[in-house]
Amino acid sequence: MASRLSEESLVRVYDGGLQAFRWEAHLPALTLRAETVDLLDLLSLEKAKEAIQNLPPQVLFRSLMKQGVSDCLDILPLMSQEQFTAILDYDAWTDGELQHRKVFQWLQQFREAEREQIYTRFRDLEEEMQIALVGPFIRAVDPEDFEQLSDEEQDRLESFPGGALYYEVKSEDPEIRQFFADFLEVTMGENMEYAMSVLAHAGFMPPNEQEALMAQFRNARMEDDGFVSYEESLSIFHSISLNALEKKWRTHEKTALSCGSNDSFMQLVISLASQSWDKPTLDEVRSRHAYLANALCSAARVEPGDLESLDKALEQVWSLNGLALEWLASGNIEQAALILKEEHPKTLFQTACTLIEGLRHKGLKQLEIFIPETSLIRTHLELQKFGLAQKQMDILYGKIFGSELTESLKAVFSRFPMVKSHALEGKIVFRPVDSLNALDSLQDCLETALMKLQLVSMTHVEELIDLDAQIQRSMVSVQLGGHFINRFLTQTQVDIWRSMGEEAYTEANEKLYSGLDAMLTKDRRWALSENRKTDALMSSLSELAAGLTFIKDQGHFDALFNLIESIPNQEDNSYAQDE
Amino acid sequence: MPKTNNEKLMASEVAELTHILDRKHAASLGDRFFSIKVDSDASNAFVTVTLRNAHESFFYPVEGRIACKSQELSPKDGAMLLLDFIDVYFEEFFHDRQDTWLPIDWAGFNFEGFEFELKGQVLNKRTEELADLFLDGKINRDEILSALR
Repeated sequence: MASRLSEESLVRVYDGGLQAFRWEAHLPALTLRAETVDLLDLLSLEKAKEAIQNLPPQVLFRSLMKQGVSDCLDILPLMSQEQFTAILDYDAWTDGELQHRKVFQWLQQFREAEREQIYTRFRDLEEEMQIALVGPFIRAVDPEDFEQLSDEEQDRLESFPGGALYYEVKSEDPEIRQFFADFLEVTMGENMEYAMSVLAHAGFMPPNEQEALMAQFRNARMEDDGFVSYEESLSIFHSISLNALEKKWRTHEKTALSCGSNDSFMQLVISLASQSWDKPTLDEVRSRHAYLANALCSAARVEPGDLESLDKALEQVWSLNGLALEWLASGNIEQAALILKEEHPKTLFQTACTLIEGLRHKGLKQLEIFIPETSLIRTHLELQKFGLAQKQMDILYGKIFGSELTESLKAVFSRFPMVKSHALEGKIVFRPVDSLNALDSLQDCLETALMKLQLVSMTHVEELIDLDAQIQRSMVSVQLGGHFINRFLTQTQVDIWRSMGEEAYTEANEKLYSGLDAMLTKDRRWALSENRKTDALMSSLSELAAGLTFIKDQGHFDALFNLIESIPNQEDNSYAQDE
Repeated sequence: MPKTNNEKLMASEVAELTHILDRKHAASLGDRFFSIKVDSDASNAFVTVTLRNAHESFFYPVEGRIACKSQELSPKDGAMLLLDFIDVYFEEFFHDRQDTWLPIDWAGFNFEGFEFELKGQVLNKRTEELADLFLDGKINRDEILSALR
């Protein structure tokens, strides 16, 4: 039995990039979609119908979803048929397939608002849509064929008055059967000829043909709102040449303003823009960002009716564009506001993608030196198969780096890259790469992985597994006065290590850090760029050292011995004090 | 999920399914997480998927039961069907700004041609526990307020 909860579905979620990580964004309210109105307020207007029909369909849809359709039934009869068609475009399609039940649910809501609306709204849908909705569920039989049927089959069929046409609802789904019962009851009462015509027509049409036609019409309409095809959506993530943009905009000296503030760079830019721009300009910039977010939906596997994910896509667009602005304007807020006004959001988005891609590309190349199987991940990423790449990271990196660093690496290589923000209830919460600081964190994450690989490679270990344990064992070796080498401890050595006084232990740790620093300075295969400060990296080593101190102080030797026992070649239980 | 020939879901499979559920909805979970409990006998399968946080101030058990034998399903397939439907439900729940609710008492549903029953109710077990302690005279009003802070 096929299951939705399969590995394949997980790959799909990874591939979209918006849903598989816990993450939070802190964006100014002005950047978010504010396109909802109080529909009940509109109802109280004298020209309520006109006011409602003047709403853009997305605004009407979002407002209905926010306030609940069943609480806004009086609105439904007032909306235009174009608005209803657009709402079905947003809400009644999944993966390019028509969700018949969704349409029936909408039509039932219309019936609840005004009985005859189930008929009029259905009748005014495009002809292809009417047939696509009825065709799969109705079997129509003309009187001549009816006579050829067995008694049992005849009994199953319903009849139009006078036996002009016979039909049956083919679905066993009670909701669908109820829809056709309600629809036909009202339609027969309003327009018998139409009722017969639609059933006869739909019953004799080849299956799926009309739905395929409708999908084409719908795609064309959706592109007007920015919901482009999958291929076009993927192309937005491509890197671009930054030379022309650099020449045009990167003219300022780097300022430190953004780094010293608690607000994100985009918050500062938007705050300045909202004070100095007129409203139409601000609205234009916002709507262009919303349009771009819509364009990313196909690649991010977000349906237009999934409002929460649409908002997340928009948050990512603003965040990544914040990074691009900070880089292009060298941290100068006024310059950034000017760039925001003049450059298209897609250009900014691709600038950010290019900056990040540069780091990711370097990182992967370096990882491949230590872990050759990384080439498969690189291939997946080059083809924008983020889901497969991340699944491969789970398999390959999980046992090497442990779950936390692997999660962070997966977030770095997500369609929408993210960096660790904090931990919540034992789970990592990420944040979008919205600034140069965040870009540094992304680099730190890659370099932490590379640095651990580098250190372990210096201990001449044959198998890359559980790097943290191997580094910790090598650290103990140094603390005991030996080299940074990964060997098993003897009981005597454990006893000596355990009984080290505070002063001796502090001294040993200082020696350890200076030794590691020297090793990392000498061989810089872990470094992705020159002149990088290694504070973040040394702090990840400090975490490992702190773990050791905890083991030592608390006497949790099980943890240490478990680590040791998990390493192969256990017969070689010697420890060379000075090799 | 791992393929086995067993008629029942194994503990490792349940753990894997829980991981997938957590992953699929990660961005919407906040401080909450899923747990899954599966029981079955020869004729029926019972599934509880609980969305909760560590303090249990949000505790949402969604329970499902299906008559497998009469619908020619193995207990494992019955449990998987319930889990699939509950996954669909949570998808709706998160997409609908967490405003799609199930009946609090058993109610019939139909999915992929099979019939089963579901129920679910959001509880705040943390406040319930504090209320019990308060009624037993073990804590006072200030302690409740401080615990809820």
